[in-house]
Amino acid sequence: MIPMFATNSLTEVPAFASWAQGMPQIANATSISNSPWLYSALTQVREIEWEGELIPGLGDLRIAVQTAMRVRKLLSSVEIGGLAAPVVAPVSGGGLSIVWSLGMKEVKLSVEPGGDAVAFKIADDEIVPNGATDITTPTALSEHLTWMLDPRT
Amino acid sequence: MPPASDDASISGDSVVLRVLHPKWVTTKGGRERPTSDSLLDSNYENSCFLEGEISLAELQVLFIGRKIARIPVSLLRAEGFWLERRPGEAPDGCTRPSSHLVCGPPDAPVRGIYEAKARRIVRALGIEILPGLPRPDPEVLEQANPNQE
Repeated sequence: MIPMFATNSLTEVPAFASWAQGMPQIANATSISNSPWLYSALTQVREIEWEGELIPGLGDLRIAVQTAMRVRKLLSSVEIGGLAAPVVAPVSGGGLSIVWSLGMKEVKLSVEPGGDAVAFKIADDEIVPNGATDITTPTALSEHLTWMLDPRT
Repeated sequence: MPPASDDASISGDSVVLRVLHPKWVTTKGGRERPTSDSLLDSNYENSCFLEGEISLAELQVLFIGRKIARIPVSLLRAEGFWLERRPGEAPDGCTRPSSHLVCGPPDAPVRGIYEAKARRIVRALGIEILPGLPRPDPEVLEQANPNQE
């Protein structure tokens, strides 16, 4: 008999849930079952945090604990379902970038090593006019993502 | 630190080679290109190598498995990036440390401006992505060196 819930992704969620419970910064996190993209995003952040290294000739891909924590807090505060999993990439020098894509639109969240964050609205591979915003509250990031999901914009 | 000077010995028709992290490659409109993240360093100093002063084959061996972007220097300078040689920051084993340089905007612009500059560079059609050498199969390596731990 084939178990009903036998996919890798679902069998891995409990492992994630166990370490997520140990992180006070995402204690009030959006539920992963409501936002499946969050699981992928947090896992990618974790991988970069663990595997980032200084590679002479390429860059310093290590990220600080506080940078990863800031990203986790921001991601976990987004209460928007229906997003595809973003691509989380290291930025040389200790930063991170998170990119959500939908058709010809993207939202890019750029987080500096010190924790400062900027979000960009991107359409047809170009930053839209006045599309860069300092992210000081989770609401600002959600506003960008809502723009991406809205077919009228 | 951003480049302190723009090296006049690097001519405008030169090309630099930027080694890429796997997540710094994207496909847009059917064309593979580097992402803007490949040219965004928090300290405004992106490592590159000057084509012609180091062989592509050596870079492919030093950074096995990694793709490499060929970026015309003219594109970098058009966006105000400077190029400074930094032989002391070349990777171990590099036979031509003087071919290693960093590029970036000297005035350390705010993030939005830096992102826009990097994005204009990577979108240019003059950029080409070269494949990396395949990583050797661990089983093949073990068979070739049976006594190695």
